[in-house]
Amino acid sequence: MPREIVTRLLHAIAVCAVVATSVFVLIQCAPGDPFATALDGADVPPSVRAEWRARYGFDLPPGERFVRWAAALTRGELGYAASRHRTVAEVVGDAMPRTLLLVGVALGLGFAAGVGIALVQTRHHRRWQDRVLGALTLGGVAVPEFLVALLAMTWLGARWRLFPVAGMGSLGDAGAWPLWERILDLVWHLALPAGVLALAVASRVARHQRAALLAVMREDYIRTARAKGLGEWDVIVRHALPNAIGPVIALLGLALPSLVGGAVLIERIFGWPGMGLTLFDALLARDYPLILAAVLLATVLAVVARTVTDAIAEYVAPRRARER
Amino acid sequence: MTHSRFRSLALLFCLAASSACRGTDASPTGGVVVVSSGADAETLVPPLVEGSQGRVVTELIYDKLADVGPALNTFGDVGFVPKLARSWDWSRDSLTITFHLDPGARWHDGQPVTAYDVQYAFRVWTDSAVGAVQRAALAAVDSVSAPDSRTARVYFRERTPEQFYAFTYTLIPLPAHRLASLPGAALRDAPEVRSPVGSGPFRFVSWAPRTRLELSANTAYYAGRPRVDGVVFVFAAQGATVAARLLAGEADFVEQLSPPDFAQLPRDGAVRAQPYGSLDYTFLLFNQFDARDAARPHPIFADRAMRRVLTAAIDRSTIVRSVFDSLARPAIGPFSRMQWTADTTLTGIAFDPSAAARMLDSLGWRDTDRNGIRERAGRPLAFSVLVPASSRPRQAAAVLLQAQFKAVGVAVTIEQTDFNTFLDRARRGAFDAMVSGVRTSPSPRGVRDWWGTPGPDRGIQNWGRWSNAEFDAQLDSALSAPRVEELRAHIHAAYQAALNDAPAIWLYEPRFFAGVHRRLTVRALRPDAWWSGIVNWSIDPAQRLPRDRRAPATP
Repeated sequence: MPREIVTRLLHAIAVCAVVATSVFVLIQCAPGDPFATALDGADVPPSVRAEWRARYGFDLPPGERFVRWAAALTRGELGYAASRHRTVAEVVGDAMPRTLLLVGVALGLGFAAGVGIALVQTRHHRRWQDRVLGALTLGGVAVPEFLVALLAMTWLGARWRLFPVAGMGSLGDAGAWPLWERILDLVWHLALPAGVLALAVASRVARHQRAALLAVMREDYIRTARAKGLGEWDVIVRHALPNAIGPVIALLGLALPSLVGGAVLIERIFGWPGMGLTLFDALLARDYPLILAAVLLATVLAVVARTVTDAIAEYVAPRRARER
Repeated sequence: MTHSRFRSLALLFCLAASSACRGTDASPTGGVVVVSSGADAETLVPPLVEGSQGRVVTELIYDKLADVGPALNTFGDVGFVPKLARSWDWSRDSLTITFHLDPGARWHDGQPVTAYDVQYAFRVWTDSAVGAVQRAALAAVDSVSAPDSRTARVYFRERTPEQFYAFTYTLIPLPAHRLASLPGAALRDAPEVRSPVGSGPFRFVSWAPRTRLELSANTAYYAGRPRVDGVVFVFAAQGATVAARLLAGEADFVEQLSPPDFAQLPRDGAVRAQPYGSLDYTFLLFNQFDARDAARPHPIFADRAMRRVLTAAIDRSTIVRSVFDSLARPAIGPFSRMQWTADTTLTGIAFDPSAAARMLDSLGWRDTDRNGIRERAGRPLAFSVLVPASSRPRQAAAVLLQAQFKAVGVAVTIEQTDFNTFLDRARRGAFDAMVSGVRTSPSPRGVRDWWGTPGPDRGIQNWGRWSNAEFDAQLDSALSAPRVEELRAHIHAAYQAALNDAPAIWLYEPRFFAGVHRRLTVRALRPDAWWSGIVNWSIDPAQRLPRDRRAPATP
């Protein structure tokens, strides 16, 4: 076990190093620099942009910049985000919890809903409930997230006004509201972005979970459980689900990177000021330290999530539980 | 009793006098204007502001000495509105302007605005360590002195018709008592500038970058408190979200509705589109030099006759109608109709595809292999058009241009790139033609940056590297003309030279429509600064919302 942990840790470090280096090289290849947008102003002399570049070290050769950045990273310094006039750590410290909240809620909701849908489909296998839910989950997987997001924003937000169109909280004196009201307000604002992300997760989870459940339902121990006189729901929930949920939990670990990627779009559409929006802005502004930090953190998050979900899948597997 | 009645009458008189001082406007006060915006301010330090959103916010927090009037005149000081400077005097040789500051003007921390603040601001703007964006505009200013705390004297190196505009439009007095201890290089990132103390109608409250920025009414404002209690800017990177906030009633104002937004406007009149002038114009720019070898003339566009023929092949009215319906009009030349120097009497190259085809024949470009594309000496008449992927109207215009060029036997390839790549290639001259746009200022001086022969003081953004001696000379004469009539004559000649030489096809000038919620009363919007009259905006008390609840800032 310790050897396995060390192997996984080394693997994670190698993945992060490769990703950071690749992103750095790719950014260098992309045209533009942090001060290129200054061209929007007609009166910006090139000397001013040169001064800014020198001040933030952008006049150094890319190799030297990378070495400096990597050295700083080993000291725990992520650098300075010139586009935000703050340190990268401060920017990330603000944005990361918001994305974790959004993605965490979407993941939790999507997983619960997906498993629930799969249970219903398994219970009513080959009946109309199965077919309808199957069609819906297929739609959930097939329709692009941005389209669902724009439709949700237009109809549920702008037209019917059931949920706020964008942002994380109400305006006015919302800051002075009692804690529980502020939490409710946050949940209300979270509904659309988290709901849209959760829809995609739920659809994928439901399709995988249904397939896994149906495979398990053919096993001998399921027949035995039925022979004991257990109800069909008991058979599915107590005997089939524990044996079929492991691969789906592992799937969540793999789904997290795409969820974080999807959050870039969702945060942009719903004005959710998390890491996705931060990364998008940083890319437009060519804020290299911020881009590198955002990508690196997303990579770390994905690696950690995969490791954790693998461990959970192992843990909940009945055979492993029996060994315990 | 008599004494009491006298006191009541005196009170009534005072109230009436107070009302008269503020004008006859009886609009209610209170409420908070929520402005939905697609971009955030990049900084709140006025000399470092580049984008339009930064300008909006800083000009609400900080006041200028004087501002251009509704006519957008930039010649002399005609029509300028006093702000921090209550009045000003010119020296006999026009090389000195003395500004007399309003004695009631105060910084938001209660300190008086003094001439030393003007002096300090000039030092900041001209300090190379600060990197002020528009310091070139102050090149004609020699120095600023402060004979006393209420008098700022500005000395110019040379007389120019726009010296008053250049100084007052560019330089914003800064609070020396708070910032003077900071070295110039530190100004950009100093913590003090994240919570600015200004002199304008609104005080800074809070700023969550890319999320929201809140301002509250300065109740001690020397020109009378704003009618609303505050302004909140909420930001969204997605254009659809910016408009959706207005349609959902979560915002009161959107600076510019896009054509698709009009279809979404509710029929109950909750949101209206308010037109105002725009200083934007868009054009198809021809590169005068080869995109692959900047030292060689462009094989097609270096030839003036070819540029004129290509211009004649394009029906701009159809393009404008197809892309914008009635939300834009064909551009005339290298200027906006909203500029006071705009000239609608110019003679452009008329749309005439038959004549264009004949001219192409006579220039040796013929479709010898009958494939629909003309050739000369084995080389097809083909070029690429660079378009930023961020602009849908420009993409649509490029497609229509492609079709119209095809009709006369010219093959066009459209290259869409992200905006950074677009800028990078523009700067390097790595393009054949590009659909570019300009948001100009009220002054005609910007024309020199975009269309003047590239050099140290001009042509900074002349990406096509077009050069025309007559244009340069006429423009220089215009910008130094002592009388308006002379200026107009020279600028007419300069614009006509540009139209004759066809360095670009001037495509369209969009008409701007602000989205305004019905609870908000908005006065006329100035083309260069829609926010300039925001102190007089008001919110209907009968339509106040929970989000309006907030205490106005105390003096």
